[in-house]
Order: sequence, then C-alpha cells, then structure tokens
Amino acid sequence: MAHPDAGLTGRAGRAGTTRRGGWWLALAALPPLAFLGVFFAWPVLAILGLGVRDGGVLTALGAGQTWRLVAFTVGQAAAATLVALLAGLPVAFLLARCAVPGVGLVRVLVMVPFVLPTVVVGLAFRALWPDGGVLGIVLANAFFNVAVVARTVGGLWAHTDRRAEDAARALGATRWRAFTSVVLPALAPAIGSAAAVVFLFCATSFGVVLMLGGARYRTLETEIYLRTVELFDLSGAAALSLLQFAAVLAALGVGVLARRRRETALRLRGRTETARRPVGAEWTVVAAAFAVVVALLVPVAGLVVRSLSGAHGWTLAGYRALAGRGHQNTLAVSGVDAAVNSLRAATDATALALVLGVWSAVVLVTLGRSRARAGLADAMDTVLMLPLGISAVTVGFGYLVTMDALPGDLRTSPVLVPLAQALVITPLVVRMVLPVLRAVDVRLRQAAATLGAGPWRVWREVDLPMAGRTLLAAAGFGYVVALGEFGATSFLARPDAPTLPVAIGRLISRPGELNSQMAYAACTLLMLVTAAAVVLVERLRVPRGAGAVGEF
Amino acid sequence: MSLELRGVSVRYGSVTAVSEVDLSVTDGEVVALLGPSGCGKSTLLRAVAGLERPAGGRVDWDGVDLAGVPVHRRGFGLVFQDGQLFPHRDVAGNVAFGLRMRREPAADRARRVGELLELVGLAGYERRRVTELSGGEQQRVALARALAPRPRLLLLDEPLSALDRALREQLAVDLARLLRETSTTALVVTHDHDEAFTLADRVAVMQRGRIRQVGPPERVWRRPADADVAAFLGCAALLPARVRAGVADSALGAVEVGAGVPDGPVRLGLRATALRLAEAGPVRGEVVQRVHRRDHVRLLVRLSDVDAPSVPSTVDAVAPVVDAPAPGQRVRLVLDADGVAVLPA
Repeated sequence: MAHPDAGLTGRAGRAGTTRRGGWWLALAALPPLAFLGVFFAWPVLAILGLGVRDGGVLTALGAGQTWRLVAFTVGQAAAATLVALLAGLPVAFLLARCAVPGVGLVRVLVMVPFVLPTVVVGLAFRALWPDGGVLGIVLANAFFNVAVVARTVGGLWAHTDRRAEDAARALGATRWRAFTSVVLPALAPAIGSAAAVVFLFCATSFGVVLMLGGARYRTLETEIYLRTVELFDLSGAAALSLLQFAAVLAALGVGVLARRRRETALRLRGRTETARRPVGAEWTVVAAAFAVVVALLVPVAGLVVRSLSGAHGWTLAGYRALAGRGHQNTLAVSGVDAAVNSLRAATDATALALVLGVWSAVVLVTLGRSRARAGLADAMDTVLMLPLGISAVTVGFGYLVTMDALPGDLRTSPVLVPLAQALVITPLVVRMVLPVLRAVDVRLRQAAATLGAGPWRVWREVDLPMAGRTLLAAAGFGYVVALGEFGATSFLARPDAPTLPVAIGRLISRPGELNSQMAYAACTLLMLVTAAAVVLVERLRVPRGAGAVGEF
Repeated sequence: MSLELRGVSVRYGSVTAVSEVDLSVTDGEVVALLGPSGCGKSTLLRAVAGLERPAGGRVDWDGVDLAGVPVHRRGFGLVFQDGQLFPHRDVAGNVAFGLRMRREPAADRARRVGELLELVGLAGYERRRVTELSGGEQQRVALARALAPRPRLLLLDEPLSALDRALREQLAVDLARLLRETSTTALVVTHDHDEAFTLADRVAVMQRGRIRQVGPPERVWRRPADADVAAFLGCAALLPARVRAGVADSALGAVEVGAGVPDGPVRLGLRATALRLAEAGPVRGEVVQRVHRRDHVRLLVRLSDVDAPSVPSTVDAVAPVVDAPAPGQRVRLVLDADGVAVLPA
C-alpha cells in the first residue's frame, strides 16, 4: 500500500464519514437485490429445481450431444468475439485518436447494430445468407458487438496519455513497435473486459442463432428454448442452464478483474489532447475502420431494400400492411397495436430500470469508496450483471412457473413483460451511470459537505446533477434495448398483446409474401426508432466521458 | 472562538500519518502547518474538517469535542489545492452554495455573492462558467465560496500550490490581506516557506506526523528547534559556535545573532546565503562552480585555510551579478546574519 499521504489522490480516496454508514448501506442495498431475488433468482432457481428434481441432469451432462452443444456455443462465441475485436479495434482507433471528418457520424453508426432488436439482425443476415449457416451466425453475433469493442476500447484509448507513446517513439521505437509495446498493454484491460462481455453476449445470443441456425445449428441458449418449449425436457434444459450459468460467472469474473485493473492503473486525460490528424500508415487503419463501418451498414441497408421490394418491383405494401394483421390474420392484433404495446412496455421497463439502476449505482459507488468494502462492491456488481448473461429463455420460463405464487397471479398480467425487460436493461443502466458517479471527485463532495450539505444533499446537489445527462442517455439507451428485447418477451407476451419484435418473429415464421414484407417493414421502423434514440443519446453524452457507452 | 487539538493521531491501517499533535488556533489567528509532502499535514487538516476520524485525541472548538459533529455541521470552510468548484454551476452558483445550504433568502445570497467576488477581485463574474476561468481565478472563486457562509474556521489545503510562481506570489499577498481584513481564523497547510511566512501569524513545522516547532514565522526562521527543522528550512550545513553578547564566534568568523540569544555554545545553520563575497572577509577559498540566479550569483567555494573537522570543505556563497568571480578564482567571504539561523548546541 502506498503511503497514505504520498499524493493528493491517495489522500482523497477515503472519507471518514462513510465508515459509520454501514447499516444504512446494507439497508440501501436491499431493494435492488430484493428485486433481483424475486424477479430473477427465484424464477431461475425454480426452473433449475424443476430440472434437478426430475433427476435427468446427470444423464444430460453425460450425453455427448450436450458437450457438442457446449463446443459449438463456445466455438461460435469465440470466433464472433475474435471477429468483433478485429473489426472493433480500428474503429476504436478512429474514434479515439483521429481528428478526421465523419468521426461523429461513425460514433452513431457503430452504435446502431448494438441496439438493433435481435430478430431484426437475424432477419437482416437471412436476407444476405438465405441458407444461414455457421458463418452467418458468427458474423451476425460479431456485427452486434463491434460497438462494444469500439466504444469500450476507444473510451479508454481516448483518455490515455499520448505522451507515453511519443516517448517510446523518441526512444527509437517504430510506430508499430510503440503500439505493441506501449499502447496495447495500456489498452489490455479494456480489451479484456470488452472481450469478456462480447463473449458473454455471443454465447447467450438467442434471436440471431434461432433465426440463422434453424434446427441445424444450435447453441445452449436455443437448445434450452427448444427443450423447454417444444420437448418439455426440463431436466435437460436445467442441466444446460447450469452449464451456461457457470460459463457466465467465469466470464463476468474476468470482466470484473479487467475493470479493476483499468480503474486503478490509469491516469486519464481529456480527448482533445489525444486526437489529431492521422499520418502515414495510420491512414490504412482509418481506411480499415471506415470499411468496417460500411460492412456494418450492408445488412441494415439490405433490410431496408427488402422492406421496399415486392414481387413486382418497389412497393410500400409492407408498410401499409402494418395497419392490418398480416396474411390470413397471422397476428392477433394489427402491426400498429403491436408497436403501441412495444412503446408502452419499453416505457415502463425504462422507468423501473432507471430507478433500480441509479439506486444500485449509488450503493455500489458508496461501497466502493470505503476500501474495506470494495470486495463487497465487486460482489454486488457481479450479481447485478448476472441477468445480462443468464438465458432470457430460462428467466421467461421461470416466470411462468413461479409468478402465480405472487398476489394477483402475474403470469397473465401485462406487467410481466416490462418487469422482464427491466431486468435486462438495469445492468446496462448501472454500467452507464456507475463510471460517471465514480468519476465525481471525492473532494468535490467533501467541498459540498464543508459548505453545510448533509450526505443526502451532497447526492442531490453534486452527484446527480453531474450525472444528469448520462441519466438521460441511459434512459434512451435502455429504452431502445427494451424495445428490441426478444428472448424473454417472446415467452411472456400474451398472444393478444405481442410487442413488435415478437410480432416480427411470428410474421416470418408463417408463409406469405405479405407477412415477410410486413416483417421487414416493421424491422425498418424499429431500426429508425433505434437510430433516432442513439443519435439522441450521443447528443446527451457528457462531454468528458466521450468514451464508452458504459464501462461494461 | 478557538480550535484546540490535543493528542490527535490519525492512522491508516498500520501506518500512523499523524501522531499526538497538540495545536491551538485562537480567534482571528492564521496558523500555517508547514512541512514536506507526506508529513501528515493535510491529513491533520482533514481530521479538523471532519473528513478523517482521529484514532486518538480530541479536536475541540470552544472547549466542545467535535468527534460527534459531522463535516457539514462543523461550519468550517475548506479550500482545496485545485479549487474543486462545482462544474455544473456558474461562479455565483458556486459562491452561493453554502448560503443555500443555510437557507438564506435569495436576495441576501445575491448581495453576499457580490460582496465576496468584489473582495477576491472578481466583481461582475457571477454568470461566468467556472470551467472557463484560469487557475488563479478558480482559486479565488473557491476562496469566495468557502468564505461566503462566514465559516468559524477556514481550512486551506495547499491553496496556492497548483498555480505558477508569479501568480502564486501575487495571490499569497492578496490572500494574506484578505484574511486580515475579514479577521478570519484560519489553518493553512503548505510545503512552501514563503507561503507560510506570508500568510501566517504562527507557523507549526510538521515532520513525520509530528509537530516539531510552533512559533511566529520570524522566530521559527531564525531559531529552528533542531537540525531536522533547520534542514527543512534550508540550512544545508551546521557549524558549531559560541555566543557572547549577541555575537556568535565560529571557525568561519563572527556574526551577529541578536540580543535574544543567551551566551554559550550554539550551532549555526548556514543557508545558501550565509556567506557572501567581501574584500576583507575572514574566510578564503577558491570558486568551484558558478550558477546565475534571478538577482544574484550563487557560488560553490572550496575553503582554503580552514581545517577543522566540524567545518565543511566546500560551502555555498552568494555574490552580486556584476563582476561575479569565475570558477578557479580565489575569493574572500564573510558571514551574513540574514543567512544564518541559530540552533541549540
């Protein structure tokens, strides 16, 4: 441990007043954890319990087919992670280090795939590769996650001191050598944590694999879905869920380690100091980055084209059909009604997730400020992230098994969908708000305290106003993710009240040209809403935190 | 209206940052905690503010123990080295913050903000964004913000250290005037002697978590309590001497030390300016090195005929810029009272 008085930062890292608040903190941590307990742990455990009671878990674990599934899941996730890293790093460089026209646009464009509903992406890639296949799955999963790599790594890159690199160059290192020996090690924590998250997302990806893999290529996630929904093989599903759970915990653990190193090891600076016009070979990287962006746009453009083309050339039939219920009334409600359902559910989910997310972030930051409880903070942080990685299908099915025990039988209630969506987006809200709250200088809060502001007043007067724009951005971000949520919603939405992604899923699973046109049109609309929200989020971004969508 | 520290200790785990400090600050007095970085002075200040909990001892205000009083109820203002202004509020919003916490009416707040900005020389800056201010301006706003709610005690943590030299000297003078005019009781932490001596009525020299000496600036400067304090205050070498009737006699000649020093053996602390060039000086030597400073030339001189083990073989000396001797040249030196401190033998 450094001598406590060795530097200002060392001195400021602790606040005597927080040591007394142990009980309050414990109480404050309860509501978010209780929510997780009731709406996450209980359903998941109930499903696992069901499976374990049937006694088939060991049989399933022993089956060769199970391990082939695991191998395929891990293999495709690793491949997709690698592709996402390779594609994301040049973009990260562009976003972080280059002062060239169009960077702002790239920042927005890169984000769009990440928040696109999974069905939309599945559909977009099916439009490109009609017969699906492994390549389609890997590329589609990577397509989603280029943004995670670009933003997480770019965020750190933009704030690392350029002078270390300059020093290496002055000492005789070539540009490439300086990159591999100075820049890359500095970025390693961000790359590690981005890779962990991307791997997690790819390993548990549902909609994409379901759409592109069909019956041939199955991952743990889609297999859990098939076994629970179509084969009623609960013990098999439970076994697979257990496997997935273990993998998720491992990946999250890696993420926490990487984050901790990043937070302690770096001295960050503003972006303006580090961005400059590329020179020489750097232009190659910039060109690669723009190529990645164009590649990201291809599926999106393909989707739009599909929505506008019919058997006899261009048509708006798909869009007009949204007012109706599709070919031979495929849907129970009109496309417009489904869209309204989506908006309503996403609004409720966002409100709930904001309350829970901000609450959790406040508790986490407070825990993190006292060194004695830093371990506790890490543990709670990991627990809060779990819903990101647990099969949405398991959660959704768990709801159906457990929620009748709550007053009012939530199983048939329309609140179930927003609750499940809130569960999915709360971790994202936490990840976005947490770094901003952490970045508030402890001494700024102490200054407020010496001026007479009590602990609550300090939060209200200092932390929350400073995080205000990020809160709005988190709300916008959470909203689009909720809009596009497919895994859990497809389970929980009642047939007479589908959300738009669920309606899309149903439309493309039924024959009829009108149905697929309508699906593509609905996808295009979702995409437009998403893109608009992303632009809004970009506008709201706190100038200082020009980096990640969150720290992930 | 006074602060009283008795046996205050602060520990971080096994490390004792502050040990058993006794110190008092009386009404209207400015006391400087002076010490090298890492000596525990900022930690002590934070303990007074209520930001650290002492592991032992008492922090009293007017005889009342402050242990149970949280930071925001102590009524102590705090100014950090780098201002720590609220970036989401303008200048007026920052200065008025403490007044708002005390629920003062808006009209009174506006008047007080105007008053304070005037006082720190930033009249009319109310609506400026704090992020657009220079370092010096930010520090003035931080000062105005801390003074606005009329704190019982003002705590300043290296208030000028983040500024460049010219600005620092200017602001130190301004700050000294301001503290006198508002008759503010203040505790200033600094590692800079000039700053401490400019601002403070009394200086407390702190080293390795303990207070080594407390006294008026002039006294601490001229009469360091021990060799460590003397070394921190710039005495590079110590020289045995004997005082008789206000004059100290040493191997490097005699020097006046003032009537306050009783007769008997002492040690002289030699600062870089302790010896200066003189035609008929008693000390002979040869210039080894010459460095130009702002308003004088600093010489390193190897002494020729002094051959006592207690005397260093080379000494620092100063010469006027004009006709400064070059390396190799032989010179004569004399002790200068202004560069000499007196320590107990």
